Amino acid sequence: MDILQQFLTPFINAELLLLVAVGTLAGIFVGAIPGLSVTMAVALLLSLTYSWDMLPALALMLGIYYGGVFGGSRAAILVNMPGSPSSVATSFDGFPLSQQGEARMALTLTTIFSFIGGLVGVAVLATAAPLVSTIAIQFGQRDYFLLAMLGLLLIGSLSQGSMAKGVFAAGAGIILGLVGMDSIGGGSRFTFGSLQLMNGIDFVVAILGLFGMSEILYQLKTLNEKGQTVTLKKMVFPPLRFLFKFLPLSMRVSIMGVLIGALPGAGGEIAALLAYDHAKRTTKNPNRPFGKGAYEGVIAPEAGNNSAIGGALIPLLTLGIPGDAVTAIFIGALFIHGLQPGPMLMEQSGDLFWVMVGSSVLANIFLLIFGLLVVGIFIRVVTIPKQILLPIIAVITVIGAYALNNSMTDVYWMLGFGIVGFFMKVHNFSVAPLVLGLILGPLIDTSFRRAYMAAQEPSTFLLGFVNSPISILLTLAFIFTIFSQTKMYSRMKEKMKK
Amino acid sequence: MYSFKSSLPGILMVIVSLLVLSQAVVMENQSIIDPASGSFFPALIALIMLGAGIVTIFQDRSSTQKKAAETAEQENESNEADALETFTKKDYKLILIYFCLVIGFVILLPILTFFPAAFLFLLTSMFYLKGVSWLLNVTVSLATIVVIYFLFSQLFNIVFP
Repeated sequence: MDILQQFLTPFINAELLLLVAVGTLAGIFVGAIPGLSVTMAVALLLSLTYSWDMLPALALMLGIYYGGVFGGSRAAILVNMPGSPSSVATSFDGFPLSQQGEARMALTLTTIFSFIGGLVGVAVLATAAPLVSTIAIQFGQRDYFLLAMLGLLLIGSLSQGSMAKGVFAAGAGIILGLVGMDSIGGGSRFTFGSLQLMNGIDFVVAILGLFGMSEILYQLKTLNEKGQTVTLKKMVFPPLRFLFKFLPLSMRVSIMGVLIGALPGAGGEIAALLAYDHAKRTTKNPNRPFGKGAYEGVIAPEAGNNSAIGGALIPLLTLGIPGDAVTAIFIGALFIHGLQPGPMLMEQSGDLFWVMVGSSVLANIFLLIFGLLVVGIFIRVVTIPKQILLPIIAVITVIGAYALNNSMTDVYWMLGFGIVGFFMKVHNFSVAPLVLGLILGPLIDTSFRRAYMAAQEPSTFLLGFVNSPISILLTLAFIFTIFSQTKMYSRMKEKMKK
Repeated sequence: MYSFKSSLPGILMVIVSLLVLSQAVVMENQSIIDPASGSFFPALIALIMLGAGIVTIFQDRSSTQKKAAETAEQENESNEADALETFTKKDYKLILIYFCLVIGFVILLPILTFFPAAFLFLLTSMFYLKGVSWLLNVTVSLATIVVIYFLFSQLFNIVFP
């Protein structure tokens, strides 16, 4: 009964309802505008909602997340410029559909099946997360350490660029996270005698710089790139038989999407690409060949990437490991509001979980409503020139950094991280592991040292990694992840295929 | 010379990790060989980072060799590693000047307060980035600061500089 009440909270509470609605609508626009990323928007929101209560802040961020992932498809279909990485696959068939005058059909179809995919994701989240957390509750300090390291390794190796660079970025993040007072011993670390650094580096400032400012600088390069535009024809609604025809496919790719989303490090973009691939392989008679405007080609990736959100929230809420960059920022949000993301989260604040599930369902409903109603406006939104967009975001980023503590010093730190992030992007370093390391660094450090202190001797400490079933599993997963990046593994895979 | 330039990221990675490592070693009141102390773990991370840097140097070297061989055959093949080269000097100049504009905005912010500073920044940015007519520029700048101000102060309770 309690659960149902918590689940329904966002539906009944007018403030939460409104925030989810506003968040979803804003997210759709953010996602639709090429150059504005969901990660950037969530990072900005994190700084702006600093003073809020937790539930409203999370409701707004969840709305933006769902809306943003969905909104990316608008630009992919209308101007052939995916608004976000997770809608790259949608443009394969989405834009050809537009060129043949079926833009509205493509937009409506993706809306309906994004909604279905999103709901499947939430359903899996609601059933799987409590199960995972009952296992995770038995985790010891050593397991926390392994888990956090595994998360870092995965997000480092699966994100773009080479694994070595990802690992380096994660390490650098951890070191930055350790700057300041040592929470166990009490000494200062990496402060260079500066009193200001004793408090550590505020990760929100880092997030703003790395995802906000650096992105602005990076986008300047593509200042004058414009997508090809198409004209919208009058309203068409897909016939009801379409819904039944494509339902099995959308269910299959949604399940795939959740599973992929739940893997730490792999998010919506991989889910969408695999879903597209699956649709291509399993559809016998598409209405048009794939790549030339097949309906299945827009339905599958959109159902996949929206269901991946529900999946990404599972490790976030049960283990404290984010599935992608956006969920890494969510971890930061939980920290800010005094919660410790990890196995204890569900135990200590189970109400939070069900409110988040409720908000997710609500966000999907709003997504369906807005997606179907607001169609014509997108053609104008997706073609807003970057000359106008980027300066506005710059102002918001600066104000956001200032607003954290009303301090100009934070703004300069943000600019510094912006430059660092820019050069990382130029040289193919992924920024997400750095941020994650920064957030998880202190946790990894303390759990490592507590685990060692509990074991007292090096030999017992090392044996501990293979002594309990959970630790063995995690250790094996860790080793396998490293191994899977080696040349030997890819050679073995080749042989297996033959 | 070419190979040096291509392995620059790796070399930088090695330098950074050595710096971190040295800072971990000289850390006060900590003993580097005791895993429970505050400096052992950072040192361990620094070593991992060092390893990643060395791997990158070798990877970049072999990939540039491969690329050199490939480009001899076909020129228009583009992959992710090419992202570096697609940034021309002109791009960098544009980005650098724009970043200076942002810094100027940040410096002016506490002196001029939000409204004039943001207005000035938006105006100059859009003028600098070209392609926006004066009328549109002024309208957008004005609208933006008014919307940001009311939205942020009402919704997000933010105190403006």
